[in-house]
Amino acid sequence: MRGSRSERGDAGLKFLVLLGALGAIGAGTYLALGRRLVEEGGAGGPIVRRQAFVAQVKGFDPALAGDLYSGTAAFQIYEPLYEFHYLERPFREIPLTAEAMPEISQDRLTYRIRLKKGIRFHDDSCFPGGTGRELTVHDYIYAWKRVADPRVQSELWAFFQGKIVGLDALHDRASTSGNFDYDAPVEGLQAPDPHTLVVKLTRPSVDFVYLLVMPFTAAVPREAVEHYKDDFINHGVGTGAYRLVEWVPNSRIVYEKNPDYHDVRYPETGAPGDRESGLLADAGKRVPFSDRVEITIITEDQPRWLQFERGALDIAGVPKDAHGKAIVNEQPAPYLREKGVQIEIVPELDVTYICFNMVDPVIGKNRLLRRAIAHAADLEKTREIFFNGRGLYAQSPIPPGLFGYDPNYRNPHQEYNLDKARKHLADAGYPGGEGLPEIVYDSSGTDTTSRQMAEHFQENMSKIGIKIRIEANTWPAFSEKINKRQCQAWGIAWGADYPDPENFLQLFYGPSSSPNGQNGSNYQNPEYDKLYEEIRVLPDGPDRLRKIHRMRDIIAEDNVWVYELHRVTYILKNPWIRNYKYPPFLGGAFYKYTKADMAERKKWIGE
Amino acid sequence: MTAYIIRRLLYTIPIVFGVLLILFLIFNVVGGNPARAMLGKYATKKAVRELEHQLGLDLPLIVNLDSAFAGSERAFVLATLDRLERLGTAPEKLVLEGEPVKALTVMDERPRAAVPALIGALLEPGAPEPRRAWASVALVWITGEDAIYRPSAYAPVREGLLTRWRDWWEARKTRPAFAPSWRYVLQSQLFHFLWDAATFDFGKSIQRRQFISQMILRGAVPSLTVTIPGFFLAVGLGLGLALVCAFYRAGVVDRTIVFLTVIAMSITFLAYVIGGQYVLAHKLGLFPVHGYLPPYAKFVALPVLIFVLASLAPDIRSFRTYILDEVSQDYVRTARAKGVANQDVMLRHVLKNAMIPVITSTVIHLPFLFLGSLLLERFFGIPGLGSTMVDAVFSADWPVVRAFTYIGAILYVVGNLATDICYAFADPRISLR
Repeated sequence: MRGSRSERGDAGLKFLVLLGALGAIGAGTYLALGRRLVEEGGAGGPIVRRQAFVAQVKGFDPALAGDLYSGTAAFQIYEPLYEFHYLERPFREIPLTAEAMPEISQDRLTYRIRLKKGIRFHDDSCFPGGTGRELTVHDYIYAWKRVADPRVQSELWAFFQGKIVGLDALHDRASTSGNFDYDAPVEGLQAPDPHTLVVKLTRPSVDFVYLLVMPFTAAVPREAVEHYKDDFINHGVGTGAYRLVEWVPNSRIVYEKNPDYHDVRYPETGAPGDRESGLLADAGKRVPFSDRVEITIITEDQPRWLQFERGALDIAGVPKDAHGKAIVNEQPAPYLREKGVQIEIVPELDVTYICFNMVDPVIGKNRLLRRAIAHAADLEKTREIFFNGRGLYAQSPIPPGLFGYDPNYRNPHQEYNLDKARKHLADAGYPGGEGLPEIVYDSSGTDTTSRQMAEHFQENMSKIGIKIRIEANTWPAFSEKINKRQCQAWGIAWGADYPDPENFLQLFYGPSSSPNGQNGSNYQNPEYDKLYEEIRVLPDGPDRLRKIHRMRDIIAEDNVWVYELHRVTYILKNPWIRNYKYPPFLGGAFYKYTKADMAERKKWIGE
Repeated sequence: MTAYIIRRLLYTIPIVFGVLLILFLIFNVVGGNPARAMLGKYATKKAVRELEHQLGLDLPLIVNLDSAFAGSERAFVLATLDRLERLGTAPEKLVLEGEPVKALTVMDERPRAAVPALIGALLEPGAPEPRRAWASVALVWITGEDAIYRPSAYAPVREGLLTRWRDWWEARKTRPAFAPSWRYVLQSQLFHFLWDAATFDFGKSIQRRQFISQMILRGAVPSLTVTIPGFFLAVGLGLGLALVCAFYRAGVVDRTIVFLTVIAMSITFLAYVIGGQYVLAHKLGLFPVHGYLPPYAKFVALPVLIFVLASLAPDIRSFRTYILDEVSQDYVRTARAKGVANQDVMLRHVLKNAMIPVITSTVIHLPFLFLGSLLLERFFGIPGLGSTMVDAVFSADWPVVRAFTYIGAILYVVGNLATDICYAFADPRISLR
């Protein structure tokens, strides 16, 4: 029935040999194809910057560029009127397409902005003859109207809402009729001549000038929107230093230098230490320096890190799991230092915190209970486990680097002290946690880290006898719950939209309570609200500082949040990258200032 | 055969329809709020309402009876306005954002959204009580729910169910009888959803703001460049090795291969991906680490290799079993007894008969190849559909998830049909009727 053993063995061997040969041929083919793995740019060749994004990009429509990566992508192409100074800290706005900072009227309601002359849009088939026309203030007015158009569905409309005279009426009318009238005049947006923009505000607002830096306020040519229609998001027709030449969603973006870019110079001043670290070597030179910027979207940590190590990326953040291996004593690990890798440690403009719902009958009405929780939160451990031991313990919502931050201030109502926590809990009416119903802690994600953070909180609270039940949510479900005021306590973070303490202090403003705004804690305090309305319009100065500190004390006294950390970002730079300074938020189209020393890179890769 | 295929294709209609109803139930009835997801941290109540209107989420779920009564609603509003006039407020004096209330023609398009705004103008705080009461009656009657645009202005509406019913009854008495207009019955979320599904118009992604149909078309090709070669190489090699195993059953070769497959199957796919990328691409430099650029063969080589390595072992194991099942059949013994050479028995008789289970287990997978391989795509930066789908799930991008589920259902049905047709080719005893 069966063949003899030896016969089978022979044939089997033959088969295996055949298979091996096939495999070898296949491998050879792959090898041949896989030869040149890193493309080279010679010393005389174009300067190419290589960057990775860790998250997906929607496209380039400025009106939809609310997230960091879509914003960065749009920024290279489209230009707002102003940008933040690339090097100076604290952040300062400087003109980009505007000629100077806005002239603000005495009542702080009218902004008069002069536009530079002779700025041209990129050449594009949407223009007659394919040649970019000159930029006028009508392009800004049009872009801002687009943000107000309900059909564009821009979440960034929230920033303009209620600020510009007449724009809300246009928006509301379009919501009802379904048709946005772009030709309708808006009282608050006027152009006495093509290079002068006059903006009228409904009330003085300290944050308005920051909006003029954000990508969604960048000029958009009406021709492009009407030409590309629904596909406008996949095109880029702006005045920026770079033109979009390739866009593969999910994969990569390639920009090339705009040969007709208007005269923008590398800054001549910087923050302390910038000159020493060589950031001012190109002071006063015309930008952009790099001929090409290639952005690869790499969502996984391992490939991003490997690409950085191989030199396929100029810079990289440090993945959480690689932190111990890559960073030693706040320096790149020895194997990276040997390669010339440099480090930049940057505090983020953000705060992570545990938030309480102030309208919750149990937790919201009992300040001492909240204080007990605040004293029982072991933040040192939080930092150790979840932030690689890095980050600054937050004492108030205002992060360092912003006006009103006080490095010497210690929040008296939340240091880690279990005795105090137990005492407050007893004073709150629940000695040892007795009689206190289970408290629900909502976590903002269903991933492992979110779960671990919730469990960490649960464990902390169990030490003083408070029982915590964890509920895991997806992010949209989570925010829905907060909006419906259904949470008791939850962990969350806030990152600056613009570098002003108002952006953080608004999170406690009574009228912004859920579901009307971003005061998820639903905190209400007439004194605080009054102060907030004042600091919202006050220019920086001793008066504003005093009021901000008073607000900080009010919310500390009420223990509305348990402040956790201001996070810190680690950036590693390969040795050929020049002029790179990490911006902790969306501050401008900064790639135009950076460059790569291609000769050095070539040498490095060749080694 | 043709009749059979047509019949089977017709069967798919109720199946897909059932899937659609379930999807509708999951995403529109119990699912989260896409408007809120889109607005993110800027989700104010007003913004959410407005966006819901843009997305058609303020339409009734199943049938739009409200709108069917649009004609009579309109008449009712006009009657209400008459009444208000008699109470001392002339309708022409009622203006909303500069437009006279008489502009009720907007009701023809989206009555539910337009009317509250108009009535809202009548409800300013401080307005005479009869006027407010009448306007709130009109509002409750028309929208059947609490006010939409200006919460503070609608206090009378919220006075409780009893008041509402009383208002409703009052209103009913004075409401002129008009015939409903059935034009709008199908203006509901369900019918929009079914229509979109039938026309394969999935709308735009919430998170990415791209057209979903374009996302699918763009992502399918990169996914297929990995999965198609991977799949066929794996099945081909698997079948070959399974034959070898069966041929030399219980011999050294068979045992070695089985042993290796057991080991290979105990390693998770993630380990293949991470290990393959680290060792083969990074350490040995045989392949690019990441990317998807021309020449694409260079960039998909490693993902394909990993795909094959990971799916080979289970393939070999199951194919080997199928073949061995056949080897023990009577006809094989008969063939051998008649002196047919072993190779001929295996290749002509056994293989052919073993093809039926092989086809069953493989063809059904074919349509799903286009959905790609999530881990490979994420790690190697292939802009395919696997990562698109998972990103959508994590960011609660329901329109995308819904579209993928719908397409998945269709593919499953088509895959089943393809399997059945392949049977007919593999086994002449099966005839499709």
